[in-house]
Amino acid sequence: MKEDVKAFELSLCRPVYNCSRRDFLKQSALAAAVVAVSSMIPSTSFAGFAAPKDDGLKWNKAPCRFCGTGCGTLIAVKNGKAVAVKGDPNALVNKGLLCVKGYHTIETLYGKDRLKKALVRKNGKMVEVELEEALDLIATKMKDTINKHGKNAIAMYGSGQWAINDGYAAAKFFKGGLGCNNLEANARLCMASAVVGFLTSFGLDEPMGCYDDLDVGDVFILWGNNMSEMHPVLFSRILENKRKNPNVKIIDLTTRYTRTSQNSDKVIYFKPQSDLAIANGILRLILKNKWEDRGFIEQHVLFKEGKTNIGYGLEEHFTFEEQAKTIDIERFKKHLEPYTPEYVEKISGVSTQDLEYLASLYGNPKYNVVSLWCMGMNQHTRGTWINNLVHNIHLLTGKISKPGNHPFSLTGQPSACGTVREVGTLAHKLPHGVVMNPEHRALAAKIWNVPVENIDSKPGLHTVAMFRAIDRGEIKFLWVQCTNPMITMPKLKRYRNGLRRKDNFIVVSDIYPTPTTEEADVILPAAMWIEREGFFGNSERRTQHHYKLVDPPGDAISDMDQIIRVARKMGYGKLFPYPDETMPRDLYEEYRQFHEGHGHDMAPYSELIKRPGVRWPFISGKEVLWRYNEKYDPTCKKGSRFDFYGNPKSDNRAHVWFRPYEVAPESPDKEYPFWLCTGRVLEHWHSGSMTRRVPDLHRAMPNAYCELHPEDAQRLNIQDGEFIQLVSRRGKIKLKAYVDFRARPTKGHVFVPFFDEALKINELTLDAYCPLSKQPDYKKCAVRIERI
Amino acid sequence: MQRCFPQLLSIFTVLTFFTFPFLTAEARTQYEYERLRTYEGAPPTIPHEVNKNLEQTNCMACHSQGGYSERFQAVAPRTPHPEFTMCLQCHVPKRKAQLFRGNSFPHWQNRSHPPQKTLSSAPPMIPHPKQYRQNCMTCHYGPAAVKQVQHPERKMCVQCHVWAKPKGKLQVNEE
Repeated sequence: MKEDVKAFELSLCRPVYNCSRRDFLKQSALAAAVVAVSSMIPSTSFAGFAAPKDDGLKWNKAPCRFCGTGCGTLIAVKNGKAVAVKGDPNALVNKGLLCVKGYHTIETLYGKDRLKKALVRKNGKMVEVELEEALDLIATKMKDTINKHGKNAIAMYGSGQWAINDGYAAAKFFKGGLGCNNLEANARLCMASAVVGFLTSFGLDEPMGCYDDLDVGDVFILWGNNMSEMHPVLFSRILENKRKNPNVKIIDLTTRYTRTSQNSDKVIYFKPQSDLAIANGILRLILKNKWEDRGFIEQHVLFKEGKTNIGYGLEEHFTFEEQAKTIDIERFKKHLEPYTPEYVEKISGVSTQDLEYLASLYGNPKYNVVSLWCMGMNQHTRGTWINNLVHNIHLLTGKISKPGNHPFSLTGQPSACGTVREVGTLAHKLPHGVVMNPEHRALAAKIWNVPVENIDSKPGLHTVAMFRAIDRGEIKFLWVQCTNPMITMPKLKRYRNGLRRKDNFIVVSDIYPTPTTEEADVILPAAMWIEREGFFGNSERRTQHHYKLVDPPGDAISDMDQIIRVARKMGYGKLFPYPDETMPRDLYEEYRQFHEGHGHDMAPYSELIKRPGVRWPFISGKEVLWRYNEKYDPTCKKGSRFDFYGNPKSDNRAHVWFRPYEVAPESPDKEYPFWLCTGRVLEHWHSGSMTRRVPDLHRAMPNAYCELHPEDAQRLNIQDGEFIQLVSRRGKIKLKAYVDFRARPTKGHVFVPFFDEALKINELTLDAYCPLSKQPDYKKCAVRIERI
Repeated sequence: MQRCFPQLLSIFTVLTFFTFPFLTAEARTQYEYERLRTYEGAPPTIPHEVNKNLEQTNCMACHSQGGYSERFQAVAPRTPHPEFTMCLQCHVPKRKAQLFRGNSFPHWQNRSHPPQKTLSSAPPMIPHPKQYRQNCMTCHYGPAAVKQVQHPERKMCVQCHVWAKPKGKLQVNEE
């Protein structure tokens, strides 16, 4: 302390002010005062100044491990460990901002029970083995299963958190090598409705606009998504737009009052499933009030109708075949006639005024409108239909493919776009196109250098069908990577029993023990994202690359490496003819060829390593921000103004589908009077296997709970924080009821987040799905509340 | 007299500071500062409860200007980044002490590097990142200061103090 004072006095007395004696006394007084102050703030210390030195941190860019926003982060590594994160100020996505999960990504690497060694079930117990032994066992089991039961008795279930190179290795191995199309990913449970919505409306997947629309939009209409908790940085971007342009309006169309609602200009509650009616009501009003863009419709739109009364996928061998018919605008208007504001109010609870208000926001040519949605519209038994309907609204008003006008389907996972949708790790897909199309198979065979006969033309089983087949004993081998189906499958008990059958073999690659690894016969330790070189693709078509920044623990290797090593053991080594050190780069460059010339060109590796991501289409060195618009997209025909080149059979027109309102498969009734909606909270990612092991995130949100409306709680005599039992036709669960904690559901509605593996809410949900997309509905089933 | 004016001003400032209702026990210490941040640069966790009523705590009521909070018996620091209004997007409270599983990530403590400067009498370089720290006074002046500055009357901090390293510059891992 004394040294502090001395140093300070000396520093004050440097001959800058030509210190006089009087000054010196004053300075001493000052110094004395400072000493007094210093003693009041004990930690202040001015001693020990040192020369500048390197803090030993090496910063590198990486995309965030979590949601589909795809924030750019910078990760600091010191002594082989990740020690700090910050938002990358050069990343256009987030401009340096992250959310609480993003700031804690690096801690997910260091949970104490991280899987470091391979484990094999021997005599009912999991025993640590050498990685090589585990991989040998997997290869042997796969070979045996194929020999004994045929190639369709095996299946792989991957993830929208797979890096692009993981998914590509899986696709090439399964579809090009083994000839098996039973390759699915958890994005089927997340984005399938959006995918089929895009494909049926535009012929090509993925949004046509980008995040730039968030900066220039005037009206943001959120269709059943809690953007403030689920895409926080994007919501902050909208708020920033609003801060600069106070006339910006955010409309929250919702079944719960959430943080998003708190920050919106208007909250409109609707009854579950009635979004179909609302959208049709808006379409009818737009056409009735002549707010449609007639020129745009005449040039760029084709009206279609499809099969109605299409079921819910509940039957064991449910199939669906679309019956599409081209119609004209008059017939389309006739279909919409029943959806008067009064009828829509009856079904949805949305007042006629509010419906007319929504329609006017879309119809007013002065407003740039962005519709935003995620799981509310996708995890829906008519998910494809509601996606089509919102696309319809934007197509009829011409508010599409131009800045600030966008039916924006937000993606949930960091690489559901990049890996599952673009690489095509789904039962019917190839990296370009589908297995059913001979031209697409020929292209795949050429790039993969395999005989075209290898690629099976019959699609494999989609996720729910796949797990049903496992339960029936038809699929005998399953390899799960990077996902936790024993938390996330709807009607969980059935599918858990399926995995527990004695006559099947389950391999699980993961980083921590989960309820899924519990059911495994072999557990492989996986490397996390920055423990290997990889690529992610986010919601705005941006592909981001990251190097390997730290070593994985123990025997852990990346999912891609696991697949390649097993493939080599099974004799498919020539599918991966590149040196291991450059395999990620070489596989990416090979994969890129699939997308050349189809309006999906991807940036070369050399660009990706330099920049915090590059959007596709990447044509002649430039990103295409707005697809299908001649002004921004070079794939469009000259003079076309808008060219929906995904629909060549429809004269390059986008499809406007008539899709009716149809009820949910299980609505509340006397015995089960509440809607059950499941979902997420800000602090946790999916099933919590990563985020619950981060102290700050776990402590902020330690357990799942049931949200109740205060009036329902009062009526049922339930106190805030009291334990209750939720019962559905499929299961029951005991958990705490909270009133007005994070969000408030509407009356007759409960909400339970699914991040807590001790409270498996999916034991109560129903495995009904959208017949077109095969995506299950996690937002609607019927439960009753019991006091205990 | 003119030459002494800066010193007079600083004495005056210090004297007012001296008489400011300053509460030692509640001032932010280096220890407290580090305790709320998992690593240097992490967004601090919230050391007090957030209203359970739909968590509609008006953070800015205390954190836009900072000051003493009767309710929490502590000094609220001023936010260095008031342009962000979704506070709970990055800052979360602690609702439970017990962990789900252990984690070996070392929590930030005992900041090891002292302020850096090239000459013994030079203004020290800023050792922390620039992001979201545009307003120096939030941490360097006032009762919630972590490291009290002795010349708060000089407004243009960056005129003399530079960042120890060019932050935010992309380092590409050359392999």
